[in-house]
Amino acid sequence: MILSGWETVFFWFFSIAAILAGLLTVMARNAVHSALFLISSLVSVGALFILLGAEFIAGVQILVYVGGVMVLFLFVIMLVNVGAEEEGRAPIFNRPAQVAAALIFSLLLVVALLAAINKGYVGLRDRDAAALKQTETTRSEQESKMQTGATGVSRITTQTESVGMSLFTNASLPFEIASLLLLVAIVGSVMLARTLKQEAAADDVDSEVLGQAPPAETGTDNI
Amino acid sequence: MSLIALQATNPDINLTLIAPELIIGIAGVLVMMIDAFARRGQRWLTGGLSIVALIAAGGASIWLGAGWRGARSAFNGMIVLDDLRLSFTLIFVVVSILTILIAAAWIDIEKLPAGEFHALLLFATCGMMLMASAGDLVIVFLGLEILSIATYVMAGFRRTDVRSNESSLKYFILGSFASAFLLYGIALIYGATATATLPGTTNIATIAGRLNHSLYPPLLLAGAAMLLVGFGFKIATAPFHVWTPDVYEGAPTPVTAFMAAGPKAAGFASFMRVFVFGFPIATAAASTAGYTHKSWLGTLAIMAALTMSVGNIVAIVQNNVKRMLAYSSIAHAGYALVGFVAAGAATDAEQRSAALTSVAFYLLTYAVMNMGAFAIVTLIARGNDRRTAVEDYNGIGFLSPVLAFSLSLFLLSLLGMPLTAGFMGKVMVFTTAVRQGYLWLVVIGVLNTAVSAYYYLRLIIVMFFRERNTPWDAPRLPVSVALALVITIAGVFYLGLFPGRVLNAFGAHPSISLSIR
Repeated sequence: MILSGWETVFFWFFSIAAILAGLLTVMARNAVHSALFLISSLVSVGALFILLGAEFIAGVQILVYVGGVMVLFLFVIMLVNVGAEEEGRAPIFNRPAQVAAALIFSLLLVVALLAAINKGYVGLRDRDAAALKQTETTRSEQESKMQTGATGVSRITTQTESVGMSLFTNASLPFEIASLLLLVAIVGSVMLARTLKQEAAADDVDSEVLGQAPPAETGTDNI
Repeated sequence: MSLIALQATNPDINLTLIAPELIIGIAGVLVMMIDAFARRGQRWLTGGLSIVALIAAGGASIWLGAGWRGARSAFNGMIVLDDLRLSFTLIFVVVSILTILIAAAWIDIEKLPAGEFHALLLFATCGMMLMASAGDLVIVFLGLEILSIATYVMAGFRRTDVRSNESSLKYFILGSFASAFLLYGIALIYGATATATLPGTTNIATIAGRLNHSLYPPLLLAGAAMLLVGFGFKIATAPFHVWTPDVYEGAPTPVTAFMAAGPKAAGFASFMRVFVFGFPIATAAASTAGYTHKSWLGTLAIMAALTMSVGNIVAIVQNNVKRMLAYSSIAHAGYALVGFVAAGAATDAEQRSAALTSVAFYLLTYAVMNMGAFAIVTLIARGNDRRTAVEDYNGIGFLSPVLAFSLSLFLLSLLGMPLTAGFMGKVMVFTTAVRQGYLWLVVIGVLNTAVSAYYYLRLIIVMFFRERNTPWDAPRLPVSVALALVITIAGVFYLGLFPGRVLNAFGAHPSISLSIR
């Protein structure tokens, strides 16, 4: 697909924003700033998904990551009060050798991936030029049949419908297994996160065995 | 248009083919419910129910192997039924039953919540089974995540102990990193298998058919490399093994036993399925498929040599028994990789299945002897894993002959003494490798076995021939651990002396086991 007109502006704006925000996420000294930059990076990626015609993924990206995960992040950061890191004047990177190694490997990865994608793209363009043209025309035909959006300019794809269809037909088994995965995660986090008092209250364990002889209130009195 | 096509596809639901996984999953939920409502004295219920469920799942998979005459795959190829899956499912059942038996004493001594442990263990087993039965990368990933999350929590089960916390956190962070690699690899493979008319695929059999039609061959290689890293981490092969000693040392000993035997075998099951069947040997070496196959096979052979050498050489200098066994487990992953390489290089289906069987058999023998060794380490370590240094084993040989002699047996088996399971496992793996022309790998393996004699025998010598200065009373041998020891000792001798029946059950051609004896 050749980018043209406002699509180009849209694409370059949001891709550069995503990269910049991603960089700032890593480099910000304040954890809250990091989280906010991560949000803007995720929103930009969501916008790019819309450009690709994947409205469902864009919606999920915004709802789940920005709406759910990031709010939790911020909540935890503010509760835990991570203040030590932002006040320190220590260099932000650990050691030159570590930074060098990480940079070399990420550079290798980037070069390899870009080379791979580019080679594949060129090969694809040369080999299947006719087929691509065909696909392009059928796609625009399909798009013209799609329902128009509220503004009357853009068109709504049927991506969401097909995601839903495949989720409950072909992908029904992974869908169900994912629920087991979530159950395990919940059980595990409750198991690790509950306090010793809560554990003792579950009536299977004596509190003194767990290293906390009396309940918390009298414990502070002793000190 | 695509919508109609989707509506027409049949989800191909077949609950019989996932019966073992269903049994384990339902039992896991039941265990949690029972634990919530049971009284103090009824805590044994959860363990008992777990063992019953595991035996039922084992029975179901044996029935699937012997009596099932229906379809060999379900859910549009997401679940497959073959010898590889069945043999590994049986290994998981054995490992989990032994873990429950060994952990019973530990849970009792340290007054830990048994219900949660058993539920998590069952969920982990369900994840392992899914990994072995997956015919699709998505199921592999989901199974792996279920297994990993349950294992992270189990490693941190002793919540008031700093070492256990460290172990859990390290495993969690590095494990998530490896999962990300795996997922990235899956995404790249999906992109690389797209053709001009069809979308990409994550189905392993379909991937194999699409290799030569891939529009993005380099992307295919990048994806395969990422999968290699992800799986390599999970089974602790040499460049990706660094997490193993710390995690194994800090985790509670029964959990360490489980981690060394179960998740490692599960990792091998999917690793082998994805690479041996997803990127199979190609008739034309110049094609994309041939090049991909050659690349991963060469990498894997080098990884096998590295893993064996690193594991054994570093194990020599360890002064903590759990750390030593951790490095030994790395080395054993290396030996199993030798069989994996042979399976990848096999040209016809019969030899390939023989090589896969040898790896499954090797992992079964390793699971049995390793669980036995860790059962004794659990007992000697006492509460909170206080006594795990080699000095703690000074001169206990004649103070507690039962424990010392059984531990010696397991160590000799890990070393690969004839008449024991470890010997038979090594012979099977190395024979298949020689048959595929990997003599150099077998030579490295045998040399490494000689190196490993040092640290295995050292512990035996420490137990029997060193003076003990501090008083020591033999730990009480609980019934459950005694049962586990009986099973593992019987297993070590049975697999070492009469491997034929198990090998046949695992799907090897009978002539293979006959030619060995």
